[in-house]
Amino acid sequence: MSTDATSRPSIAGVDVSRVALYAALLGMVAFYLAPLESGLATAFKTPAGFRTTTPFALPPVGEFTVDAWGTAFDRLGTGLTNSALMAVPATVLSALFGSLAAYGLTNLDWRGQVGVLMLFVAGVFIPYQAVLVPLTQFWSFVDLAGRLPISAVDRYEGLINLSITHVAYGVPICTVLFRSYYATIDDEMLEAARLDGASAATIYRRIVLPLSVPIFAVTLIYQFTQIWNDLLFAIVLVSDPSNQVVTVALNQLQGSFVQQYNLQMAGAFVAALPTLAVYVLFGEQFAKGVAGET
Amino acid sequence: MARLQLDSVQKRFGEGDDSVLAVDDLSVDVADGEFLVLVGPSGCGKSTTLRMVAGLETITDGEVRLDGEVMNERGPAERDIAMVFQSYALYPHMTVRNNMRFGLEESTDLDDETIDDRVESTAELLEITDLLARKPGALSGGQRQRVALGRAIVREPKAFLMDEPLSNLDAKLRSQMRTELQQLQADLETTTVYVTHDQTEAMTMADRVAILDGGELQQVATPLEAYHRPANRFVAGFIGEPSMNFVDCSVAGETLVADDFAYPLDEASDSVGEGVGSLDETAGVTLGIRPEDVAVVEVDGGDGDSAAPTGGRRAVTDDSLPDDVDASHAFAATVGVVEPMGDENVVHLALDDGPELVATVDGLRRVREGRRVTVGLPSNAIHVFDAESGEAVRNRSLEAAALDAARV
Amino acid sequence: MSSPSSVAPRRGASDDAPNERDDSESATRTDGGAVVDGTDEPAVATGRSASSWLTRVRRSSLLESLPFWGPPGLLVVFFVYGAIAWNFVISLTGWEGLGSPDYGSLSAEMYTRLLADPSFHAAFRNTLVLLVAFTALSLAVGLLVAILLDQQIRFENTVRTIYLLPMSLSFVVTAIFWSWMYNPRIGLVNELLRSLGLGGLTQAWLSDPQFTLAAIVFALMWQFSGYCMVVYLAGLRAIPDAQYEAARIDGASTIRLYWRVIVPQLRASTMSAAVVLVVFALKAFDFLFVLFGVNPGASADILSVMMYRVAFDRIQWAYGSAVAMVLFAMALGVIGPYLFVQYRRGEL
Repeated sequence: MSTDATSRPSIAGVDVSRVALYAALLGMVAFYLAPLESGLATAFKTPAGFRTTTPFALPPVGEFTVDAWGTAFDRLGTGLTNSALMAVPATVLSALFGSLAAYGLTNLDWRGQVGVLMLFVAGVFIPYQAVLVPLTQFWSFVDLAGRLPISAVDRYEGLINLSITHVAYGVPICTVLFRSYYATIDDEMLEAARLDGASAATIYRRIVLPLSVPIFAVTLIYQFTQIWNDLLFAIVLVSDPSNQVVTVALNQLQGSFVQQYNLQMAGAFVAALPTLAVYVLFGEQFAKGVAGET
Repeated sequence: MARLQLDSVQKRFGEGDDSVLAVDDLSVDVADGEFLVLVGPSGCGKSTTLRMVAGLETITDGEVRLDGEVMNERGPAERDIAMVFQSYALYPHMTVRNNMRFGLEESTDLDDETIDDRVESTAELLEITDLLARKPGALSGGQRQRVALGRAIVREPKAFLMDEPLSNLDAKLRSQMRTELQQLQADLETTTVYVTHDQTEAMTMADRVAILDGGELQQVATPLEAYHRPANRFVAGFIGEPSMNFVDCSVAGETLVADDFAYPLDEASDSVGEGVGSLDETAGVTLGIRPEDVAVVEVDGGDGDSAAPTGGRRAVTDDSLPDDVDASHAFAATVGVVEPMGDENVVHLALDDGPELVATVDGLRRVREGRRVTVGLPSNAIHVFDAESGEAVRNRSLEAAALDAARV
Repeated sequence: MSSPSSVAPRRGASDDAPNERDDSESATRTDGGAVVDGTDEPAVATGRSASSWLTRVRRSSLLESLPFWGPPGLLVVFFVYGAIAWNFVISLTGWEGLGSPDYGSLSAEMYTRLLADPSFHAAFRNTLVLLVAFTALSLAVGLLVAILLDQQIRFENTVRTIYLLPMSLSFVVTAIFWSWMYNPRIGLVNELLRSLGLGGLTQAWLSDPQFTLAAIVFALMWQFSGYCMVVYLAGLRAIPDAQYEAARIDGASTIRLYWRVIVPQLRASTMSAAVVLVVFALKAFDFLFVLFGVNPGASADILSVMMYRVAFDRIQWAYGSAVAMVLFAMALGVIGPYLFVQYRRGEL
């Protein structure tokens, strides 16, 4: 990136173009934020306030309330817990598997590596519709609750199934993310470790894993967002209402509060809170994960 | 006792028509405690050879034996060998101490106390004790190099392998480390194989050098032997800086001829050049002479600064040619470029009836560009190589004592 | 080191002569220091055939790596490839309703049914339109924004974070936003138009079949152009400044500069972003489902929603599987060539 601004083309004169540039950028900011800002504002409005103001206007005095949020939390509370219970293990496990697979396919030298890697990469792109029907069959066949007479399993069977599913379908993208990172690890350093007497497993544990902290951060953040935000698998694989995750719950909330947009907005934000928080805190790493496929 | 033997070792990359023969039938015996330098231009196979000894490359054919045991099937972890890499390859997330501990933790059953003792004594030896708590990222290049060395030394292996460990250092540091390394190796008495492309390092550090080119071993000898008795033209040209002068000639009776240039080989007179081979059989030969043996004498200066008319590096008492050059080996020439190096001057000469040659003369001597000079090529300094095969047909003669004093 | 070979100058023939190449055999050749000590071994070249060692080493490297990629690999093989194969088999049965599929009688009946089904044709067509429009629009907007961001503005990181925000949201969340935004009476879009005096342009964006698909494309672009922007920004940053300068010296106007010099070099970025977008468009289910449920109507029905409707709403499992296979084939048609090109380029 050059430090000399004059090497970049200027649009018209010099000052005017900068102003126009910032105007355009601001316009884009408005474009991306408008729905969110409006949603947020609306979530704090009373029904009356909502009816009488334009969407992006802030709640007028006297029409500010947190009622909508209260209702939303009530309705979505279980969903939030369920999503957390399901998403956190799935995120960690898929990242771990991705790391292991990437290590085996990148830092250890053997023939046919690239072929196997391609199989993983191809798995990133499949449409989930292509596996939905077999999955339902599979899980009803596996029947965890029936085979493992543990009360926890019985109570959370839907979430467990969903979690395992997300782990499996998260492996390809996690592998790809780790792979491009592991490819940058100095081969000679790993050879030195070999000469020092370390086995492949020791090298992973004592050298590669400690060095993976940055890419773990990226992968965990990215995967968490993907898994938390999923609707399709959740709707298909979890039938028990007590196991409902927040995306499904939100969808139902929308259906039951038609036209009551203040409630819907509050619900949307409550459901989005964790991923929004992650994003605000770790935006940089998230961006890397998003662009990491390239 | 750690004797390292490479026995007809071969390395082929790829298979069939596309395969590349990186190392061809290499056999070298490294004695216990010896410092062997593998030297050659890029791509000559020296690093590949080293990596085969380390176990980082598979051996296509032949055997590598350490202490009499065949190493071919053993992984790098099982060979009791330590290696210093060109890039140092330190573990960036570990402190220097842990870097040095790692090998002992992973390949021995020693307890923590013993390991720490060893680490500390090695750190003392290399003077890096105050770096032990730091991480590689906080070290300079030279310091990292010492840590890499320390990591190898602390393991007390049967052999050290070093892959151009000094090439990432600046020139001053490099010559300092050269001396230190030599001393270290002498103290530790560990068998060492050292790879470099720098012939200076090879000459100054080695007990013996093994010169490779294109995967083939050219010669294994002490540095001075390789210098004065090169096995072939490649070795003669590779060792020595500035490089040996070569003149392609054909044999006409007892004379070597190249266009208008004629150099009579007179075996009957003065000290006879060493070596065998009947010159009559070879049609084309290459005449070789080292720059420091080329005598340069001013022709009737007239400007009075031929005060020290030293020819080559041999002091003479008068203006005439040095004693070991007779008239038939003297040629008229003009001085071209002169490069003053301080300790010597590199003089480029253009013979009237002959090739261009490079000579080195004493640094205090002034040789002016454009001057007319007489160039003497003493017959006891001549090397002759077969033009086709490159093999040395005849090498220069030397005083017997010189060769024994090769290594102090 | 003692030396059996004398170092005195020798005359005549000597087998220690430096004249001969020092290849195989005795290590006493050509050296001043001998190597042979007490244990005298004739250093005969044993030249053992190394091929069996080779295979062993190669195999052991494979074995060594297996515990690492094996279990994840197993998961992928089963859950991805196995499941798709299973799905294909199901699509060849006539399974619907309760009960189990009959794997005994397999036929392509579901596919012939698809070909005759007008709702499939509509969904297929809409999917393609969505695909193309969404991809093109997202790439274009992403590129534009990336170019803007590349102009060394202040607060670049903050602005970039804001642009990427939509990607962190679930489609359920964004669907709820946009269903409200598109509301004809009180939605942001129409309100904005009215406040700008363009009241005549207001539409029933979602319920009017003319505009439904366009509205969806626009909303999805809102969510994804940030991703394209990130990709393009990285691509732009990889282009050396010297090219801009050279082009300007050559007299190119800004538009031409970008169009003819910069954009062609972003081909790799475009390709990789496009693949991601296309595959996403094929999968896009969440967004439409929340907006319309299982029945978006003929103008906005896409294959992924149709599949769900057929399989889970109408419980026609085999038929749904067939639709899913069509989706998979379309995805394959995009990623197959892409992966092949990447492999060729060695970027895998």
